[in-house]
Amino acid sequence: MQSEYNEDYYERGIETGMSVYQNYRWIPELTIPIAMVMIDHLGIKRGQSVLDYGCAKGYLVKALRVLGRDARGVDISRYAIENVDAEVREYCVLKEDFKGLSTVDFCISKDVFEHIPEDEVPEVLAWINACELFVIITLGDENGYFCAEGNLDKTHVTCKEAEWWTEMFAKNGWGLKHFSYRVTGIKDSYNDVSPKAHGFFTLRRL
Amino acid sequence: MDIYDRDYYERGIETGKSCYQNYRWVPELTIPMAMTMIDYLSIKPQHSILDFGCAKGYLVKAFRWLNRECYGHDTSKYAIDNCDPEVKGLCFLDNPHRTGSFDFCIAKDVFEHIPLSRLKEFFEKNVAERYFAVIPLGKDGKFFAPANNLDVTHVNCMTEDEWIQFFADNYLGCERFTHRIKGIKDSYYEKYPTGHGFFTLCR
Repeated sequence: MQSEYNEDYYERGIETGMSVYQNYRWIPELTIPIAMVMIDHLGIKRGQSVLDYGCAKGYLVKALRVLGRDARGVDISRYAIENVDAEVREYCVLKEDFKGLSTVDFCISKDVFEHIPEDEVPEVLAWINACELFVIITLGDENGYFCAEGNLDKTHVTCKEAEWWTEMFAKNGWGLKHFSYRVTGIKDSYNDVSPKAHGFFTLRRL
Repeated sequence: MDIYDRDYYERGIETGKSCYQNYRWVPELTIPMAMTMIDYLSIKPQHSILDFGCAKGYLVKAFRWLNRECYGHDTSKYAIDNCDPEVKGLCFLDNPHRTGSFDFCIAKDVFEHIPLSRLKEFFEKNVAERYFAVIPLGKDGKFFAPANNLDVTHVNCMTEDEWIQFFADNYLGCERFTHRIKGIKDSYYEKYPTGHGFFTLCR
C-alpha cells in the first residue's frame, strides 16, 4: 500500500489523478499557524512529546519543533520519508523502522485515517502509544465524501460519518474527549461550503 | 531629523549608527522568539499585545502567525513606512487607538533608547496591564555586552537594580527578573551572562 504514496502522489497529484497535492512543500505561513492552533487547542506545553502519525515530509513536525515542542513523525511512504525536510530528518522515520519506547504525550494524525482500510483501523489504533490522540478526518457517507476534494484522492478508502468514527475509536480503547466539525485556524476554507466536511476528534486512552 | 532612518536599519555598522544591517524578516529567528515569549508570559489567544518599538513589525507578524492579537508602535517613520506588508495596518507611528489597555506591552531592546523623562510619560499612559522588557545592562556608561556600545542611540546604561528602582518609582513592580530566557538572545549569554535583563512588570 505504501507504494501508492509516491512522487506522483505528492508532486503531481492533480495531473495524475492520484490526489489533490501539487509540488508538496514547506509553506511556513500555513503550517506554523496550524501547529499553533493545535498547541492551543490541545494545550501542548513546551517540551511535551508529540508524534505526528502520517507525517509525510515532516512539515508539521518541523513547525512544532520551531515552536519548542518535542515532535517526531512516522509515515508509511518511503518516498515522503526519503524526501523529508532536512531540518527534521532525524525525527521522521518509516513506520516499520519506528522504535517508540515510551508513551508520547500527544499523537496527532491529520488527514490520515480516511486512507486506512476499515479492517486495518483497529491495528493502527492499538499501535499508537499516546496519552491523547488528535485526529482530523475527512468525513462522508455512502454517497461519498461531504467535500468535493475528498473524492479526488484515490487513496481515500474509508468514507464514514463522525458517529461511525466515534464508535470505532471507543471499540478500540480511545474515548472521546472532544469533538467538533470546526477548529478555527485549521481547514477554514471548507467551512462555508461544507461545514461537516471534516471531524476534529480529541481522544483519550480508556 | 529622525535618527532611526534607513542608515540606522540597513547600514548601521558602516554608518556607525547601530549594529543592524539589512534589517529583514527572518522567520526562523523571530517565530521561535515570539513563541518563547508566549510560553514565558502565558499569553493566551484572547490576550492583546502591544509591541512597543516594533520597527518594521516583524514581532507583530510573528505573533499574528501564532494567533495572538498584536499591534505595533514605533517612532521611526522609516520603519513604519517600510513595515512588513502583512502587518501594515497594525503598526503605527502613534499609539494604536484602542479602547482600554493591552494585556501585555512588550519592549525588546527599546527602553535603553528612550530618555527616562519620556519613559516616565509613557508609563503614565497605562497602556498595558503587564510589561515585558528586554534591556541591555551596563554600568558607568559601558554596556556589559560590547555590541550594545555600538548603537549611538542607546542613552540609558543602567544595572538591573537601577532599572528595578526606576520602574518602582513609576509604580511598576518587578514580578520576575532574570538574566536569561532560553530562546531570546542566546548568542550573548555564554560570553556575557549578565549582558541583558528580562523584566516582567506589573502595575
